[in-house]
Amino acid sequence: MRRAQPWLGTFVEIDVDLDDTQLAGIAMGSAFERIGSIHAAMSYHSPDSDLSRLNRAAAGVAIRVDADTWTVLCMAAELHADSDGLFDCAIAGTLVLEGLLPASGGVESGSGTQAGIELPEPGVVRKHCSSHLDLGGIAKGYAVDAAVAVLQRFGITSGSVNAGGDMRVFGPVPRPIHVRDPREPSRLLRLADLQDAALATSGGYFVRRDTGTAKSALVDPFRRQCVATDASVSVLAPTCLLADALTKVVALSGDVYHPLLAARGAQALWLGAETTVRHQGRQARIAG
Amino acid sequence: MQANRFLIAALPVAAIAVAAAPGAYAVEYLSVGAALKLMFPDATDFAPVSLALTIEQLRDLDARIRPSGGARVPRVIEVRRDGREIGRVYLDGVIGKTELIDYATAIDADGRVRQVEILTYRESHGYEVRNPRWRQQFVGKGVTTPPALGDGIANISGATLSCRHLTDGVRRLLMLHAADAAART
Repeated sequence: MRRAQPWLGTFVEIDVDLDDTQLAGIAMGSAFERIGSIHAAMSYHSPDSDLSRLNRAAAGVAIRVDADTWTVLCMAAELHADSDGLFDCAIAGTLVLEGLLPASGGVESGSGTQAGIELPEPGVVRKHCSSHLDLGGIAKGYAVDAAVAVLQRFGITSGSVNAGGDMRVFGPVPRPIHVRDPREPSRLLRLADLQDAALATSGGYFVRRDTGTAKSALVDPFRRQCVATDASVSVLAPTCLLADALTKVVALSGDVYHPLLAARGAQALWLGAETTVRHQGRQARIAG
Repeated sequence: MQANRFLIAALPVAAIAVAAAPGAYAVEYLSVGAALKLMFPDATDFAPVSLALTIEQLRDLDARIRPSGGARVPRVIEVRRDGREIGRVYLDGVIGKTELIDYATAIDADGRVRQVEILTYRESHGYEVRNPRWRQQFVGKGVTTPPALGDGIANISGATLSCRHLTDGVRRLLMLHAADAAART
């Protein structure tokens, strides 16, 4: 049984193998609710979300956030440290400057890095500088994992959750992952069989704006610039959060053998004719 | 007009490139009947009703909001429990990128969105590889299809184009619902 609902800025599809359609319906409904609450907590655009409150918060002020937001921030901090700063959620300021995110709540230029986010105790976050966070690079994967956990709690042993290409499959049956054959749109190419694993892809970073210029939502945290890469990076990982987050590490480092992959039981696939990384867009302001 | 359970805002996301399911071009998720039961499990009766709005009023509404995903006259199902109206389901369609997406929107008696379910999705679900370079690997030199740059790619709102149109569609239904309720009294 398959259902889809719009969440996380995309369509989330849940597929479960269960003959009992009533139980499947209830389990999927709960999984969608779980995704909805994660969306509500971590949406950049919703002024009431944990994330927006945190972005508006002054440095030094302790902010209470829900367990999901706190967990995602912990994972983000871990990945920030393990990737030597390459994975960084505190890049919303750059996205705002580039016009890829709206300026919200009077926060224009958070210039701090993820390292300026302190997580003193469960459910509490404190910024030590004007960090402006966007959890887009990790929260979608987290939501997929959370939805899978809900389905499994309902006793569903086989299924998949797919949030617009960030997906996780579970159960004894390997599921073929397909890409569309551009030569023949009605045909699909089999990319891999996925079993108890997650896959996320970052690609097609060019975003044509009304102005005709191309911009990218991938931010180099060191240069504070949007990066445009021609490549598409797919990461296979034990969880969708890791797959989602690690695509950024691979895309930014250009290294499909980045040590963090192996350390986390992941592997990357780089699809692209070029591996050159171009920087574009004006220099973001970096506050002293 | 607030959609409490359907947040218009979206997390910015990366562009999407990989397909999960074979034959994802016309996915039928739910029948209308199954969707109704899922959305209002405690209902005792689902009755198709007509809008109280006239077609002119509907046109005026659409002229004001200029729906991005196309404007249609939705089918309306009144949901009852023991004779009392407990909500409505609107069966509507929006154009995603090029094709129609059928969806059902359940609205509570208090006028809030209860649930949105996709019924049929005829598009490629955002699964196709959007990276033109990547496409080129397969296409070779004979390609005539221009790569659709920015088409459906995560953008300002982080939403894919299809998702944005659907979001706009739900927003329109909420306005229509309110206008229709006013027209009924």
